[in-house]
Amino acid sequence: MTKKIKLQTKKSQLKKVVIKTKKDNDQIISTEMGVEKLDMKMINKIPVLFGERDILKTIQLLPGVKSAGEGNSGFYVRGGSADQNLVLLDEAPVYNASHLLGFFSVFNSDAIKDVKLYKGTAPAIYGGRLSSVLDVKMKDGNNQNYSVSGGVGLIASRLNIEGPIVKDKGSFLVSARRTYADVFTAFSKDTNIQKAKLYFYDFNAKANYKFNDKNRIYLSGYFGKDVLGFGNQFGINWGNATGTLRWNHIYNQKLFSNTSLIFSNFNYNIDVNLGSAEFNINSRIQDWNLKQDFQYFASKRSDFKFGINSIYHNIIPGALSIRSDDANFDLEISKKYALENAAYASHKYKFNGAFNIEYGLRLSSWSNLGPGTFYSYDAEGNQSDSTKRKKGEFGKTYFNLEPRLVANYTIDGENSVKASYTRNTQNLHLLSNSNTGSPTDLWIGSSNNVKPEISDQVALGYFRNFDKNNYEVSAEVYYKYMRNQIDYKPGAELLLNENVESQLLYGFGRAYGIELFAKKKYGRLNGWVGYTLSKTERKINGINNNEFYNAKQDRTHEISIVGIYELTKKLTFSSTWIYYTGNAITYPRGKYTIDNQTYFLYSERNADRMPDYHRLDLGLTWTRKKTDRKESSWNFSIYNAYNRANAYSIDFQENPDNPAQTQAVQTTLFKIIPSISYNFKF
Amino acid sequence: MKKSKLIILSILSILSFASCEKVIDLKLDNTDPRLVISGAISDADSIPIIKITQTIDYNEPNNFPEIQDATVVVRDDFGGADTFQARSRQGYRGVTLGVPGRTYSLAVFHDGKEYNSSVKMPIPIAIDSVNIEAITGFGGEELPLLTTYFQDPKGEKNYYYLNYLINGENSGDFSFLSDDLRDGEEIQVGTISDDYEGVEIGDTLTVQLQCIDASMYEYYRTLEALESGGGGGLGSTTPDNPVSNITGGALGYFKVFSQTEKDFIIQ
Repeated sequence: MTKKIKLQTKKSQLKKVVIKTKKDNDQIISTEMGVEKLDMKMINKIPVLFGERDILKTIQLLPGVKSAGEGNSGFYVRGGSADQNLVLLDEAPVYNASHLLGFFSVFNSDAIKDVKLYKGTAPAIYGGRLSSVLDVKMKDGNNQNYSVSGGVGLIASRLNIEGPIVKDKGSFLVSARRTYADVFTAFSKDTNIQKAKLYFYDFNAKANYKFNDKNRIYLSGYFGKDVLGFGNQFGINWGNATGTLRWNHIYNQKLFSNTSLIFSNFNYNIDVNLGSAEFNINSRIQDWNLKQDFQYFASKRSDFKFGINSIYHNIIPGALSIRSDDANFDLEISKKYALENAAYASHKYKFNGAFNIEYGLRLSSWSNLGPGTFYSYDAEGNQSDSTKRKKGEFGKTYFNLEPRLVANYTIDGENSVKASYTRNTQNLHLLSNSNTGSPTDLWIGSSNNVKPEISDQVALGYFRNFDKNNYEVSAEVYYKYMRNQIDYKPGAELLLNENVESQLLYGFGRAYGIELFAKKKYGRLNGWVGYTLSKTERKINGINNNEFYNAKQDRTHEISIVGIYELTKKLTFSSTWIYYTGNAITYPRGKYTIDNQTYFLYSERNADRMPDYHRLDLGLTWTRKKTDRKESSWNFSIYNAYNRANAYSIDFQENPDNPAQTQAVQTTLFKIIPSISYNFKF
Repeated sequence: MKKSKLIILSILSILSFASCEKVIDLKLDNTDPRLVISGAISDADSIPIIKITQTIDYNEPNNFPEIQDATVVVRDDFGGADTFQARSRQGYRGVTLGVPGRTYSLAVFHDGKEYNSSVKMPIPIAIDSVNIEAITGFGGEELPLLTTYFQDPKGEKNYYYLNYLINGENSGDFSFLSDDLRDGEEIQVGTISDDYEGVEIGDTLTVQLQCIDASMYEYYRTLEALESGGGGGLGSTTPDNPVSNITGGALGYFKVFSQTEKDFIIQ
């Protein structure tokens, strides 16, 4: 950590120095398990929808990570739901990591330094979500030279500026992106679509300054917004904002400290203007987060991490205002306040010989805070009790202990086995009426009625490297048991409902599977093959006769193949192919009539399957010019190259030729889509 | 939100040039047939009818078998019992004229199984006025809004179902609501629907204000919330059957309501 490493060229006449901070057989000897690191250079070569490179879509190509749907940046890890992923951008939680209802992620890859995904055991420094941690770090900026880079794509353009504040001491980076998908609406024949507004933009900025060898300050921020509108009559916008101020202090050769003040905000705003009346609905979740982390290197073999973390949550679940000529109406669902605290310690230790372990403990707490009225509900969802609390007064508090352990036995330099156990808890829960997620989804905290979600996961893995670490193969099995999982009563009302907790049902979840992975790391051809065999089920009181049923993201088989081939120094070809079993879904099993209307009869929950999904994407990167300072390249890609009609949704309706019969209609969202983008740097 | 999702999908599909729909052949499993019971008791001067049919498999044509060999009894909490008589194609008919404030219990016996429901008839509430007001549509055009006004009683939970008739015939349009957040206020219910196309000057619109109970409101609410769901696509919900107020595993409802009505003549 104290070594002065410069990863960029110091002066143009000097040769580029590449310093490896990790050993080539790191996957064999480390105590990390179920951890995926992504190289941004590789991400930039992988073909994606509309040519918009996207880290969230690339991680979906890894075993154990499932896409939330066609073209969607949402993801599920080892049977967890989308809200059970802790998505961090420079330590700040991002509450809604997608743009345009999920088709793009909030992460502009120009501004991203690296990405790490913990799908098994995350170190004790992380906490608060059940299934994974996605830790995204922004670039620090070049502290030697100014540079401008960017790209022009089919639906978005990007611009990135970085450079030194004071050479060798500090640097900055500013990155911006804006889509122009709505330009295409002008070409539509449909006058309704012509009136539509639809775009998003985002900014990333980061600066750092080194005061001396012992003190360094980082300041980073993100701001993004989606705007969707329809003439003057309807508009909805939503977005995230995060900010991180971090002070990095070195006490001595052995003790390091990081102190961070973190802000995070997500809000949405809906406006409807009917001339005679105006409606507005808004909602927000906002955090202030103080974090103190220490790292102590006791010896070459022994390394400690410990710290504390305190988050103040402030949630506006929803506020409605109606303004009309003759009447005004306001409705605000009670604001919610909570304090989430944690203290943790972990220790990494290397025994003599081939054995090393990392273990840790995290103590987490969640407290509801006043002011507010705290309700309790009985099993039928009727209010059974209520308590009024003053500002700052503590309500229901939960404490949880979360132990973690990873043990590695290195058989030799090329072979190892690892085992792990992890407990995670989650006190913020996302309520969503929709299968795909929407900006109006609601975050609620643990309360009198909603208990903290708790998961226990055990995993076992075998890791093997071949050919001087050029090839990595691994097999991991896992079993995860999740308590206090949340589901909804049929037709649950989540929007603007003071008694939203009365709409919830609770139960268990379990997930298990095996993940096989083979990767070629070096040479002109590199890439990976991943296969996952898994099962994810839930058992909720009040659903499916209280019996286990498939979670919607239960997909039995999942295969992904990624290949990148350097044809010449200037031409790189890439290709991905994915296959997965269709999502579990509830199809009608019968029909019936009431009041001369025909309705579908549903029986078992999620007992049916969408058709299997598979798709081939191709990409070609043509680097036109490449020097130390200047670079330009064209990127061509084809999404869904063999034009597979994958099912996006399946709807059941009357057969127009024979109203007495019913038919299933499959909608395919994206067939073959070619795209092109131009990227530059100077 | 529905509209916004539609716009996003439309724009993205323009970009993809190739999104498409096609009819597919799906093999759907069958399930055991279930009883479907629907019927009402009211204080309105009409013959109470309980209909009983059975569910059919998804692939069958829409011929829903009528159940004619059930025993159907409605009792009130004053000791009255009314055994409904089966009439071919017309359901089971009784003679009970409901009295607000009394509780009515339905018992259906069929094939060794019993299905029950018990509902108290709410006190009727009078309509103050019915009007046609103007509202601006999304295209900026003025649209007629059929508006009903009535006074909600304070201090109790009330649930309403409004049925709209054109010249005495059911229009197909209806509204339902609870007094949540509006307890004790003058309630205004506006409706706008294609069902009124073709209505001319001189036609009579009738609004029937039905006071229903919480369980019936829950049936209508979940029916509506779940009807638009399914599909697995953007904005879809997990499909399920609406919440019935009949025990024993039957689908459908037992509606007990009191009713007032008011006419509006188009001028």
